[in-house]
Amino acid sequence: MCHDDDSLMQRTAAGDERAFQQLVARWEQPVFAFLMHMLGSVEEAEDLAQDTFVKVYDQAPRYRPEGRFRSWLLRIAGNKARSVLRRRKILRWVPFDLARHDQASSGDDPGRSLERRQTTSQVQAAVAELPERQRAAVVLKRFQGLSYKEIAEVLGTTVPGVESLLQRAAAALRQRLQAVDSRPAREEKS
Amino acid sequence: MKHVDHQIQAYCDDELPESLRRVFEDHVRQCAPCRHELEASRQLWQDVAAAPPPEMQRSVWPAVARRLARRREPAAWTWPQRGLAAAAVVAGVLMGFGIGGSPEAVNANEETVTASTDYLEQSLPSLDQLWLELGDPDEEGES
Repeated sequence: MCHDDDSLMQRTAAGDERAFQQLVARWEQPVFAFLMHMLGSVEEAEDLAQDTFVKVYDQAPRYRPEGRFRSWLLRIAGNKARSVLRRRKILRWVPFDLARHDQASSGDDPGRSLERRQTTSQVQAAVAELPERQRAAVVLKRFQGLSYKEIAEVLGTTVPGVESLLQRAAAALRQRLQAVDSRPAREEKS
Repeated sequence: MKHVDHQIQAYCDDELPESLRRVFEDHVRQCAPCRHELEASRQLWQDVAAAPPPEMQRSVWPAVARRLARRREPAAWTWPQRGLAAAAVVAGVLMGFGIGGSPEAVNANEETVTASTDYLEQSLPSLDQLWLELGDPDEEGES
């Protein structure tokens, strides 16, 4: 798959627009999901996904085909997200609209579905409150399935640095989710 | 007994080297606190992974393709280019009229004018294109 991406990039660099279209079709969902987790806004995630692919197109002639397309692509997307977050001077991430995106549970038992939605939204909110780099590491590992080495490439850090980010993220998430679990039921209803 | 809780994350992520992995698993079998930590970590990451990834509502390709196509359109003339083009036309016209020149000079001037016109036609976009580009500032502003 990596080699396919590399050859598509080479064809893109040679001006083959169909090859570039294939690359976009293959990677737009992962890029969008990453940006959604980082920004929490559909509109911004779509805009930045577009910007990311335009940049990929521009950079195609300079791309080195070393089988690292995914981390290279997500680094571009991550840089774009970072500049938006800086511009926003964000203190808190905006959780994305679960009703619009949680389509997987539509056929479930309503009680279980509601319970799962609550758990899911609590987990998402906890992930959303993580500092930017911890959040990026969690998303890249757990939702994009990148290795520590790839995450290190995306975030511009080392493999031990990634491990440390994930350890701190895990500690923070557990703390937050335990705090949510121990809240009185009436508080959750409100 | 040396605890292995600092390796739990790498173990859960399948990033612990094989040699350390065996030591880790041996330790966890015997150590209740580390076993408890490992279970808690596994549960946490299972919960995180269970959250559905946000789905795209529409492909970004049409918008990306539009942006690339827009950039491929010939760029509008810059002011120095326009000045040079105007100067070339004026020079061509003056030479064409060849103020009081001989028939040979007139012929030579005609050739110069023809060459200038050909050059302009080949190297510059048509006036229609130029008019379209200059007449659509909003579209340019979006890109």
